[in-house]
Amino acid sequence: LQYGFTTDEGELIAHLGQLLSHYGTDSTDRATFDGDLWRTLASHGWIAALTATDDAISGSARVALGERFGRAHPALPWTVVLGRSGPLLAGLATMRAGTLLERVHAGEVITIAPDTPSSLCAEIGVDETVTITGQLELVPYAQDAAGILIAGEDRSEAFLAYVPNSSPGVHVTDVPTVELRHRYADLQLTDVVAELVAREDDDVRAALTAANDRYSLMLSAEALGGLSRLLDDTIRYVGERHQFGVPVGSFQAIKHLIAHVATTLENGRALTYLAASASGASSNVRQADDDVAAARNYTGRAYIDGCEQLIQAHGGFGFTWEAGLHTWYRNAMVNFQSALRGGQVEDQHSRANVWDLRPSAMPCSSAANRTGAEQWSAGREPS
Amino acid sequence: MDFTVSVAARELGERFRRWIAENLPPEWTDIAAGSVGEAQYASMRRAWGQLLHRGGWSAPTWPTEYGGLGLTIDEQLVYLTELVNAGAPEPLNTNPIGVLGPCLMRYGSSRQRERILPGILSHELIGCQCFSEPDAGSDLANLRTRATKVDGGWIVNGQKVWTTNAQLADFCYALVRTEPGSQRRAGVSFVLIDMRAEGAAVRPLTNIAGSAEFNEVFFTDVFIADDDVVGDVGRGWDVAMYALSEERTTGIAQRALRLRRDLGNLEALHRASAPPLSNREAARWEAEFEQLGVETRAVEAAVYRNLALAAQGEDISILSPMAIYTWSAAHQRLRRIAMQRLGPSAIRSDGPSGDWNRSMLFARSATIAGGTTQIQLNNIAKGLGLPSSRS
Repeated sequence: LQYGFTTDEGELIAHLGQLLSHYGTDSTDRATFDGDLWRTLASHGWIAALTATDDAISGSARVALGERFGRAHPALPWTVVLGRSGPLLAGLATMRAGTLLERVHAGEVITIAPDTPSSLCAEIGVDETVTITGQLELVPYAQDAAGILIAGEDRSEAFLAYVPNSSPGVHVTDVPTVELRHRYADLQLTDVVAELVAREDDDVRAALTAANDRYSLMLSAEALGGLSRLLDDTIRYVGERHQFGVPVGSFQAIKHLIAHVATTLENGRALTYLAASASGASSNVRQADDDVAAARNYTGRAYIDGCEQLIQAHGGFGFTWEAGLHTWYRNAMVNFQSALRGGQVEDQHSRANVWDLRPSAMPCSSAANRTGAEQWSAGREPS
Repeated sequence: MDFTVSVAARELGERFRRWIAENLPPEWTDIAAGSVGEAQYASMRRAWGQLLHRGGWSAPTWPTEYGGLGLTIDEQLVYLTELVNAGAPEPLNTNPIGVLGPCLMRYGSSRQRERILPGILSHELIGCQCFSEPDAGSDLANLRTRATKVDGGWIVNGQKVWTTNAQLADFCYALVRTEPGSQRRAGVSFVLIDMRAEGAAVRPLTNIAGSAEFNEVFFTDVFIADDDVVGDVGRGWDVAMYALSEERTTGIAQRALRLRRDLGNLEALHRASAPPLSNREAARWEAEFEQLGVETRAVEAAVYRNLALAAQGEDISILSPMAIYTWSAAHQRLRRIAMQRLGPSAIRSDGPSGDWNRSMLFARSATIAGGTTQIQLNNIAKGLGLPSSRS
């Protein structure tokens, strides 16, 4: 057993915190994509380092770096690109995946659909293309992206396709959400000819599973970072705010509430580091593949519960726009909902519940043959 | 960051598992507290302590020079895991070995060590801890039991309470006020008292589950020798705090490991129960157990972290109460869920229902003994730098 980061890891974590330090709670209007900062991160090598599938940066250090992003909560696609699309491309050996990964490293945003609805139809062509028609909802940063990855299945052959945003037939609509920093868009795809990035023989399913674990850990890191930021702000506030002639933080009712939140934060942190550092390793301490899911469940709850408690500790102040507390609560609401295939944090007890990510788009021919009513019910069925 | 245990630890675990399989009588495994009489339970725990000692498997944390195993932190974790997985009882002298032993090694005289350490290891000497008093529970520094200086020693007068195993003990280790008129933590000494001495009396207290492990202890003009003071006169508070901090890492580790075993037992009960559940009922229980599984894993992760940090010599004064707070809540919740799962028959005093309902009653102690939840939260808040409520 050993708990803590190496000197090198510690320096990396501090350096990233520095780069992101100008993000505060004060910016409360709906954010635009901070392209300058994203390209700065790219040019400093952060994106390449954090999307790599080797262990140059340990799993637990990746979580700690994710926490720095979570603390700052910048308007950047860090959870989806560093957690999911990047590691997915890095985990595939195809030429196209390699080319796209280089573009990600250079600071282009290549996002990925959170889920592939069963109503999307896709057909792999003979010329290494996939023709896709359908709608994708709430794709992170799609409006700021060069393109979007879509995992799907054509007659039970899994594939990963890349759709440049500029392709004919792609219509991107910005979607306001409860979140003020992270950005989302809906996509309408009409006979879009996408590039085939990888297919069944390229082990696309295994790469998806591995990337989804990374994504889950990044979301846990976001929860830990956001909660630790709000906790620090709250501890400062309750020491300054006086009522009845004493700091409100001296009342046990307030102290115990904050101590409880701090406990869930530290538990979640230990659990997430455990899940991240155990990835790929085997031992008798680590007992299950469920740790990644357990960490997601625990941190997702801890973040949203913690925000509610800490807003309470701020009293009515917490509800004013200027204080910015809602920035974290809104992020926690989104973080809590962020699971694949419509699953919620509450459902994430085991790997089986979370990462049963079978690409689920159906072939266009069968879609075309269905009646409208059949398509409607097919879209509603859990697949 | 490394949450795995060393190869040496795994090998030790295999050896210990084999030894337990050969030596632990099956009728001693998974004995729920209160399911057998107190005397029978205590004699089983004493005999298990003797067996461990004869087999060379007692005192995992003690250095080998004192007869312990001198285990690394990885090995301690594996050692505890094997005991918990086997459903083994706790040796009767768990507290003297875990708390008093390290104190004597650090603060005791060589004579005190020779007198006490071999005896508590072999379970020929049974010890108990006399810290709490009627007016000194959470506020331990309010203790009033006093020792008055006389020629060659001290005369002790006062009352202790909630003393586990006092009815069986040959001696106790106690905090007493040796400086007349002293306040709070000053003027307190850590002393050894012969429980068979004239003037020492024990009155059993019946706990919430109906069993009598707790006691009141009365000292009326009990003589102790100068050599019965551990460490410097008047510096007993430091000795006691050292003792308790030593206990807080491995003690909570063992409880966290038991939580995992309890969950396994609950799931086994769930699977074995008749009649079969509807899909909806089954899904509800699966969800409850899975959520308990997540909480249990969080407790384990916190415990691994604390063990590692303590071994690295780092300060865990805020993380330690966090682990206890989290464990105690999960421990209690698991029992509530077990009772719900058992349904109407949960109230029976016989069979598995009786074990679970006694366990639920007994679990109230989890948020009281060794520091109430409220004290744990105060300590966490203090560590976070929140303002004192007593200013």
